[in-house]
Amino acid sequence: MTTTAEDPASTGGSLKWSGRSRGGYWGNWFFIQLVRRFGLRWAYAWLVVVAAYFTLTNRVAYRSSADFLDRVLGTCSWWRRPWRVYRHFFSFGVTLLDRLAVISGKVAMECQFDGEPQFVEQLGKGKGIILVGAHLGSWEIGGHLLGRLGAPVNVVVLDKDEARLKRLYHDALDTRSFRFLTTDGHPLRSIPIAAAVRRGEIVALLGDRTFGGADCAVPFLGGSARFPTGPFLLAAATGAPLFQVFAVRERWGRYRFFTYPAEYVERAALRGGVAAVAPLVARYADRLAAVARAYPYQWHNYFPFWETPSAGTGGQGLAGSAH
Amino acid sequence: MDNLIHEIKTKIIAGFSLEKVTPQDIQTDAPLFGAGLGLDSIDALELVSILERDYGIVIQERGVADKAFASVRALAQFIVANRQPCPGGTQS
Repeated sequence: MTTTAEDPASTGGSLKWSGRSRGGYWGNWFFIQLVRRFGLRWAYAWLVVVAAYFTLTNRVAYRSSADFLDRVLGTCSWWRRPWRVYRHFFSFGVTLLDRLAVISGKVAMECQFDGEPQFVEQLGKGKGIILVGAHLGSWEIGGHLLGRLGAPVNVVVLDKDEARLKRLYHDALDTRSFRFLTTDGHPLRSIPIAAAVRRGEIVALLGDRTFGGADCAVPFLGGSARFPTGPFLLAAATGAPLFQVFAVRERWGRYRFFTYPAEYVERAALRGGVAAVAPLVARYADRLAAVARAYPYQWHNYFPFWETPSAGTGGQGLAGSAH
Repeated sequence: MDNLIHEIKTKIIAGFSLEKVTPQDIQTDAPLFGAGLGLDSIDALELVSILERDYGIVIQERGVADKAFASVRALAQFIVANRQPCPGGTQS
């Protein structure tokens, strides 16, 4: 919750994610120390306070969370809303702490890996695979699990986040074949990404965040939201199978990684414009919506995700205005 | 070199379906990406596969791509410096 959180723009109004992730070296350090010295349980205890602080102070995240929860859980009375948002933020904090625990090597997470044979089969043939995740659950824990497949893992991240992530993953990067590829919206960004797929490696992207590259708007949880088309064009350009994946927290110390069946995208889609990939993006969004409904508190996009806010939500609330 | 520059322009036009463009329209020293010709990320991948197929040159790094695709002239110089004998490729 504190500082590794991908932070929405500090002032409301903008529909675009600011591309900024709150830096916060010391916040990370604090929680890493807490996990290392006192264990995960004590770090969780701190979240009681930290989540409350964010509920009270981060207006954009509060509104985004309230909007999302209204869409998946239905609207609720004004006095219940802050509690739902609080629970949502708390759950985000738990995810971040679990990630720190895993990275620090202090705590082992039990992780069920559904769909592993599908990946092994492809990689065994020397073919690369494209994994498209989301800011739901913990893609980092999923990424850790991929290390055991033996193929190098490339995670596509925003340029701006690379330094921060490298610092955070310092130890892991030393020991694993785990790499960050950056994307900054430049046309040539696709070359190293496609090259990694062609070398028979794993390329993991997040499909629920547009980076200023090509995107398209599709129906999503009762509204219209923009998703990047890049992952599908990458599949079209390389001929590699694309898997939509999730890593969700089942309970204390236990995660589940699962995948949808392989998708192949016709090469013709490269020149087909938005119309060619829109159905694929729409299917991605439908599955994302289904998983978000099943694990509502693990949705971790705390910025205005929809092109228009849902009717009747409150964006107003504890942090928004005095109700 | 001039032949190669013309050849590259022809391949770009054919490869990217730039029907209304003639080789003369493409400036030899203008950037291929971003401003200039304004090719996109799909074109970038296409260009990489043309280089691989016709000249036996494999580009995997962003830094290399930045230099090679700076302009048509830069690309021609890059090909001259790096081309491999490639049985299926056009030799000019």
